[in-house]
Amino acid sequence: MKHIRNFCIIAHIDHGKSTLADRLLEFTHTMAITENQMLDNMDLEKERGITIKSHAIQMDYIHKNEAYKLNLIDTPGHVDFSYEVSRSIAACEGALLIVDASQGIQAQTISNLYMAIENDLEIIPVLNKIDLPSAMPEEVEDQIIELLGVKREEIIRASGKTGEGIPEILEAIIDRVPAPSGDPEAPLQALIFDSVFNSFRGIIAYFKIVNGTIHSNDFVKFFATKKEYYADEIGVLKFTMTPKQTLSCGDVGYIISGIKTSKEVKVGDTITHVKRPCEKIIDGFQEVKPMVFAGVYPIESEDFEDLRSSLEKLQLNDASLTFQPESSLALGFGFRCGFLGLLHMEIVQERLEREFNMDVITTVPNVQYMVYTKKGDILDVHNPSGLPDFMAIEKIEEPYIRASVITTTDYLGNIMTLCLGKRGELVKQEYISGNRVEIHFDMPLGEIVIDFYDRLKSISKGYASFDYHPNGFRESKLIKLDILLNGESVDALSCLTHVSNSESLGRRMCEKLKELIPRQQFDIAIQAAVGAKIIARETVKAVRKDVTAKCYGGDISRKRKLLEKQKKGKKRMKQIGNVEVPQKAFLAVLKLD
Amino acid sequence: MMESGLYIHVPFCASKCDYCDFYSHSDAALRSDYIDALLLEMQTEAAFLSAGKPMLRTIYFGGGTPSMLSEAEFERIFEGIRCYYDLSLCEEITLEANPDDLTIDAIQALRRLPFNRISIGIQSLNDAELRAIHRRHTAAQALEAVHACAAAGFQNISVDLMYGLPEQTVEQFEESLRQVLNLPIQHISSYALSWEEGSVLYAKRMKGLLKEADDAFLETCYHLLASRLAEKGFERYELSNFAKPGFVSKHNSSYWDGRWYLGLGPSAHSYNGVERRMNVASTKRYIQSLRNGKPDREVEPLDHYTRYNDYIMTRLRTMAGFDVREMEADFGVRLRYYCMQQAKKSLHSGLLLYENFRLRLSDKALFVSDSVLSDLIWA
Repeated sequence: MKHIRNFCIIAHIDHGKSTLADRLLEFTHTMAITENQMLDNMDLEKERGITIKSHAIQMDYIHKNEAYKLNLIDTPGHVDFSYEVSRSIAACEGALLIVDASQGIQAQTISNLYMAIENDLEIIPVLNKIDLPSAMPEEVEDQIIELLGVKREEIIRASGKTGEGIPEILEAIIDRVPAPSGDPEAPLQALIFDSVFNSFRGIIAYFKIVNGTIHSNDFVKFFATKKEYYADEIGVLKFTMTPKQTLSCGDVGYIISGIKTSKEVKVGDTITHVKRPCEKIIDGFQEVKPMVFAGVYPIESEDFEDLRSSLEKLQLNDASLTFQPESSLALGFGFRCGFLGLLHMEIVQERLEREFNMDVITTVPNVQYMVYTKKGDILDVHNPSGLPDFMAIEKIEEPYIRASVITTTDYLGNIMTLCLGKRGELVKQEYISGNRVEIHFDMPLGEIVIDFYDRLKSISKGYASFDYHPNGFRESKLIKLDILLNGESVDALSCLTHVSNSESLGRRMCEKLKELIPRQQFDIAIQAAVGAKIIARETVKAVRKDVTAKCYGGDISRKRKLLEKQKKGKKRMKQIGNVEVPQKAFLAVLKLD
Repeated sequence: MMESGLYIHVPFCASKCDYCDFYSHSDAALRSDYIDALLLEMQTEAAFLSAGKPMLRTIYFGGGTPSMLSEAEFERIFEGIRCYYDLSLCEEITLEANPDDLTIDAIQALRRLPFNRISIGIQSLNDAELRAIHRRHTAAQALEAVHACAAAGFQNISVDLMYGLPEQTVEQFEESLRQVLNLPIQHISSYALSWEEGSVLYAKRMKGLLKEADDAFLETCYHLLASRLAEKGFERYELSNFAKPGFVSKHNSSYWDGRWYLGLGPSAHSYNGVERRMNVASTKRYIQSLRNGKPDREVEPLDHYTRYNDYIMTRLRTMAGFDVREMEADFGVRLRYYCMQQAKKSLHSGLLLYENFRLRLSDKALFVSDSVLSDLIWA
């Protein structure tokens, strides 16, 4: 056990975590030099440059003539996945804190860092991208010193690009990160920190053994789900999966036990033996609950069953996705899906399109409301159209979050204005170092869901980072805003909004829809209404000319291709009444200017 | 297969018009090499149409500016055509001409050649408009050219007329139209100016120097055109083409009637029911590739659905439309059903008409026909 080191990497998106991890893997000959960042193995992750699901990999490294096993546990780098990050952190004894030398510390980093400190992880600060001309090493080091109270010499300067600092990092991991503790003879207690779905082998759960020992073919039980399995295969994660007969206290490994769906494997759950079980689950387990809900509908109604099976397949490796059938007057049959957050929602939509070739419409996302009726019932409402009649409602409560934004004083004013405009209440404001400031707000989650990230990004020119945690429910004065196309109310475009925002939201939605709905063969009236009252209106004028007049010298192909393109565009639109509405119009509310 | 069309692309122009993104250049030194290549291509590619000497129904010289070629050059080309093709049933031989090339001498020469149809690119009869698109000729030259052709004995004359030119007013277009209708012509093609990427005009618009006419203006011109021409006995037989009875362009009609045609010369297009192809759009590479015996061209094999799309698109351009039973005979009941399903919306709104098994565009659909057609497309 004393030759094992379990560590994770805490970093903000784009601060170079994956590249640096690659260098570690190369340096320890865990893998050959590759063109791509290896830890991110979904295409989507590569494109977005973020690691969506955590994975783990074991490196062998010889230090002072002793062989060490270094387990790198990867963590997702986005606010939607903070629970999963917490479980990865709980599986480690140390963490590399990677900070971009040209950008400094960001909110996401700080919140994960606090999580790591709470879990007693040894923090090794690394200043990355030191080779960049825009690097400001001293300044960023000052921030780190102020934040962690470390000595300047303890900060390692590194570059994932040039490989500078890599040996120093490996040495620091061995010297500074404590070996895992625990009792190999005690009843088995293994923390599940991640799982993946493999179409040949079913669910592969990744775990770290906190106490005890596991053997291949042991009869084991998952504590929270109470399900029992035989450990068909256990092993460690090298560049590929390497089966082992035995894994013991401190080891990080995987288990394959014939589990078919991801629902049976809950991140944070504890694996123990059926025969000699441990007494209690490892602390920190939570059921992951979706925070954001949206309708997902097939463009072609006959694709409903295909959509269901695609969602089922997605759920196999994404347990945090929930869905149940619903129907919409405008869109027909579809599903109300629950997501961890907006990014998670976008990822699911993109995966449906790319991996399953599904053309879907995603509707305006909303949060879960608690509706108290005059009769005394309490309803969970996930969809504006599921709201009872307003006359029957006693009160509506909406979920709040505690948000943290880190920025520089230059943008503080703008960000304050944005957050207050989003019904935020300032809780506190702290200077972290120099001109960097952290602001805490209590805000309705519903306001974050709509058009918040993009605006935060643009008003701060990217120099603001954001993080949040759920923070209870509060009563709010909410009303339903409807959108009408040529006089017909489109339920899929309705949203709940605070009464103070309704007018401006209605106006901006109409403006945005006018931009997004293409001109057609007749005028299209776009109206926003609260109850029977029209609060905004725009018109999309009819198209007057849409003709490719000339076929030069028999060039039929060129014109045919134009028409095929037009047709493909139409196929991606939804016919509502006589109006063709493009997919992206249903998310118009997310992209308001 | 019945008799086919032959298209010859002449890529030379004395100067380039501002709206043109079409392949042409002014390097006259290449002309003799070009004709050599053309003769070679017409020999080797006759087989694209049929074995032996393919029967031609129409020949069309387009450009570029084909009227730049000399009588001797035309003679060489026709000699080649006669050598490899059967002209005994050939009905129509058209030359696209620029007004300023149509001098008395040039017209006499054209009369000696086998041409029986002249298509004159007058575009406008307003000098300011002509200058704005960088045409070489003047309104007076255009009028003179048409009269001279008629006087020399050409009995099938077509003119091109544009609307939506920079700074053009409805009144100006109406005046050009009025003068055109007094000319001894049998056919008019009229198009809205298109702002093609790669043209000078497009660049000028991007720089904010020119403004594109708005759709309402173009629509007004189009309707004006249709009604004036109808009054004068011209029948609209295709979206942008109008003819006196008996003077429909046979060559251009073959594009939308599904007839076969072979295109020779750089960037020329061909079709033989099985594939469409397009020659390389560079005169130098065209010449070079023929010399090397490896013609440089793109080939597009046509599958069932592509042929269906072509059918829909080309047949519905004509005012006659098509008989869905004939369509079914070619493409099967499934595509007939698909087509009628997709047509429902436009039939309902009156943009498409369905009578006696014929599906066709209504008058009010013509100017928005792309969106009507694309509904029926298979994609």
